[in-house]
Amino acid sequence: MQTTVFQCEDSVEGILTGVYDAYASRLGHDNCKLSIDETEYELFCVYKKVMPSAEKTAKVIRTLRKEFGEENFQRICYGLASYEKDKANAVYKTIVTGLKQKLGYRIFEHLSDPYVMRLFALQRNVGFELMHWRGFIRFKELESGVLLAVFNPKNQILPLVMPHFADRFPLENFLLYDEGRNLAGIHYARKEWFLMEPEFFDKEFAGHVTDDEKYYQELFKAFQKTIEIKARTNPKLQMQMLPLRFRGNMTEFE
Amino acid sequence: MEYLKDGGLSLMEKLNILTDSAKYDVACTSSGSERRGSGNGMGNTISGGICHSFAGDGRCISLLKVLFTNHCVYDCKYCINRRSNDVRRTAFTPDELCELTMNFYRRNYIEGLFLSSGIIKNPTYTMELIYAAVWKLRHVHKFEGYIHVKAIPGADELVIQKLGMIVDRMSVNLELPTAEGLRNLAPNKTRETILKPMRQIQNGIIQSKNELVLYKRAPQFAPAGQSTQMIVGATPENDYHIVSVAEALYQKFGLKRVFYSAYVDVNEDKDLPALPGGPPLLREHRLYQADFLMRFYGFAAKELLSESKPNFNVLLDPKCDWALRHLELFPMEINRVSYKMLLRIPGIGVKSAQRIVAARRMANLDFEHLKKLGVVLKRALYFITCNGKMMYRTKIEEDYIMRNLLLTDHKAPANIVVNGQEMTYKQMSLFDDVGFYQKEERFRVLEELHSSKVSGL
Repeated sequence: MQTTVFQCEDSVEGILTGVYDAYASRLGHDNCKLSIDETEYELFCVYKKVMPSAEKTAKVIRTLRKEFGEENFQRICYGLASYEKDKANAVYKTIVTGLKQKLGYRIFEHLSDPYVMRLFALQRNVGFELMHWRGFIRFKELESGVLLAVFNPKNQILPLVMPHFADRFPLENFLLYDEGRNLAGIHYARKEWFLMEPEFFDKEFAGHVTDDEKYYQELFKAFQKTIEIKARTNPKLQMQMLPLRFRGNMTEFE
Repeated sequence: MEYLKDGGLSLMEKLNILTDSAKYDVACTSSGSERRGSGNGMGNTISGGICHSFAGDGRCISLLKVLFTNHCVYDCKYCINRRSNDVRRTAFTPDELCELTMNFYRRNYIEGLFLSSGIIKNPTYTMELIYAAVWKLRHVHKFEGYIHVKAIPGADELVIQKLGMIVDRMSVNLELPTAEGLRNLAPNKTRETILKPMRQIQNGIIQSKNELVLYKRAPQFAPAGQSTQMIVGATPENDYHIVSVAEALYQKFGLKRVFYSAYVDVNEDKDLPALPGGPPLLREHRLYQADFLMRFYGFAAKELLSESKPNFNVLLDPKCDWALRHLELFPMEINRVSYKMLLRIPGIGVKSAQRIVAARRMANLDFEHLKKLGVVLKRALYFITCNGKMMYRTKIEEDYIMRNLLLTDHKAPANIVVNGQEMTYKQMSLFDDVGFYQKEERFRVLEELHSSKVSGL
């Protein structure tokens, strides 16, 4: 039998709707695949476009939460935030394995299964990147008093990192901007945060900072330089712990 | 405070001076405390801690690590701030300290404040100044991030008790591993005055935990626990002494961490050793490795070292070294051996051991799986079997394994022909430095610097 490829939109809703459709198609899971790549085509495959549906997504999420538990559902979400192209299929096949073998909350212990292993690796990678950005994001104070940070994550980190900063700075107005994806997370003081795609992002405007801001930047740079113990200098270790890709918007490396 | 006059230094100058004198303190972790923001202030804490930057020496910058003042009435010979040194002296005002912390925190430069201090007048007086500053930060500026404060030996119990209620972590520096070393190098400090606040903090933490059982909202005393640090290489103790001291501290004082700091020669003194080769970084690294083996891998100090073999192997990490001395236990069958024993296999860490135990419930594991689970096969392969088979034909022989472990960087040991039948041996001589310097480089991968910050499984 031919393989049917379900082409999904690259979003949580897109992929989980794809999972729903693959189940609903009753073609047999060995004959189905999920893909978020809409340009690559294989021979001897049938292609089906998946229309994202909030209703189907909600159903899938309900099942995942019930069957695998909250913690594992969160891991699947981390997997969905990955930048890797094969994430959709890894999520789909892991769900199939988990439900078929009734793994329940042990789903991510079944690491000898290649798809579970793959999804495990993806979510771990997202988790590590999230951990790094929580530390390496740098805010600047604009003239309006708004805090602005620009960053370039590999994975879809923005929605995962926003709750952290919203909890940390409840009284601040801040904006976190994912440059590569043109996506902004916005938080008003004492309000819930939200995401939006800005029509254009004015880098010029973002460069207008207060004198205070420059002063604290200088202080921090001085601190970062002074704290080093010269007898232990080790740039290689520094590079390993803080690779160049994080340094683009970091105050102390400007 | 009339004698804190410093000729009107700017905040920048003060920050430079007080950072410069605080940097030899090692513990810059922000872990152990998990607290969500209240919604009315600024800050929260994450149990794993967060690294915000890395300095040129590769050490993590997590907290604003400064001294409150570098004025000091003590004359500890190893310390840059000793009374007899001619260095510029200054002190922060509580407002300056709050301003720096709040503004750095707001820009996500730091995870909180790490405050230590030289001693003005006397320990109690100094502690009270610190308390005033920290209180202001917590209650006026509503700072809810991480605060780590050094308790000063000899300070009044009451002020330590009060301070413990508003900070996350407290620590008392052990300074040197033995009482004798302390007598020689830190004439104003004694073992007794150091251990007393340590005990007090321990009791405070235990008491606070008990209260928390009774009253859900009871205020917590130093919720992130207590740590300490000691200087390695300034006095003639051997490694066995040091790990034994650390072990006793973990068992008797319930410490969260013991930090080791390779002695850096900032002062010249006839009682201090000369360090032509720089600070003893490799030794420090081996101590951290042993420390992790004691805390997470179930090793006892006397299993790693003994009076007859008091120092660590320069070439091998303590776990490999232990395994080579206990070859009668190997090879172990991955699919069967207990979790406790898995932890003793070189190349298998806590995470991979946990994953192995979980995954082997579902299916038999082979070497391909192990690799994906995060096992370092190039080290583990001499000590394990999967389904009764070893990965390659190897000898279970101390010299042989040792030689091969030292020639790492290859997936298969360089002298093993993977598919062929023959295995050749390479003679190692004392002057043969193949692989040695490469390994030396790798020693610097200071896992301990951020090990407490790994999240996920």
